[in-house]
Amino acid sequence: MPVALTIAPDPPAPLIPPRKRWTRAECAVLESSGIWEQQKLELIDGELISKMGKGRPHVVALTRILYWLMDVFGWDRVNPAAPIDVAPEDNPTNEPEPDAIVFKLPGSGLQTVQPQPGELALVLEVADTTLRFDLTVKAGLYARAGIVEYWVVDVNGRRLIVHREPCARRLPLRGRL
Amino acid sequence: MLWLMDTFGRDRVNPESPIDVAPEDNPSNEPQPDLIVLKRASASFQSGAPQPGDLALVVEVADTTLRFDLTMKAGLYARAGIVEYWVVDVTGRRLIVHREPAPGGYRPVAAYGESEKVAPEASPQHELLVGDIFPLGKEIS
Repeated sequence: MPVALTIAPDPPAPLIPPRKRWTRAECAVLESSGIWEQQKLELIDGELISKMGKGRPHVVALTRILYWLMDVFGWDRVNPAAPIDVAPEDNPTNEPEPDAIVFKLPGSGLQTVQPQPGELALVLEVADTTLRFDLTVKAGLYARAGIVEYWVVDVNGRRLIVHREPCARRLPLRGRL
Repeated sequence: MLWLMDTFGRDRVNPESPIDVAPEDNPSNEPQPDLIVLKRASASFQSGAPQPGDLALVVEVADTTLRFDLTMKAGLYARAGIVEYWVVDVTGRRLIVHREPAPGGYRPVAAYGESEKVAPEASPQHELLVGDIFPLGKEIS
């Protein structure tokens, strides 16, 4: 039986002293310069988040759910680790790379243009060390983008946390055990 | 990815998994290849990162990182003794296959074009047509 999660998203941490907020354009320049090669970074709210240090539980959970998603939706609707666009106002300082995305239309998983939020049926993150971040900052980002469904696999809690009905202002959190 | 899953079985293929490399490289390296193929089922690696000797094949997909994947990473994987290393050159629409690792690097490094077929050494009966990896560039991109 699913339980509703009532925890409110954390307000953004105060940035004192103010930090430099990176933009996609700056990141693209740095990326092409080569100094970041293989760093596995994700741009969220102007900050560069390292995607390194995944544990085996993360990898195993992601592998299992990717196979399940491919069985359910067809392999040409599922992409692992694909950068996506979000809301227009968030795009300049955000370029999230969810662990898995599912497209609404067959074949879209093979397109060569950056996926738009409206094309996505489901976005999924596997969280072992990043649970709070995925439930607050990322949930807000995906809700503002109007992504219709967002799943967080809580590896340590052995739960799947399902977000639906995105709205721009505040995210209703619904959980399933 | 799907082709590797069909060839080796789902429980031997992991996306985005950190791996260990040579002991002398481990302190300052924890590469996370785009795909790895394990020699045995992935569920048996519950805690520690897979060791180089556990890997049948490592795959990197390179668009902006081609040079790095062909130099730094090839050296790292060769020192670790990873038996086979594939680099998918998205821009060049080639598959670059590294075999026979030695401390100085992989000796035979072969680039296969779109019309050519490659089979991994760990599964020589399964041939992959290189062109099948890439998006239908002319029409879509």
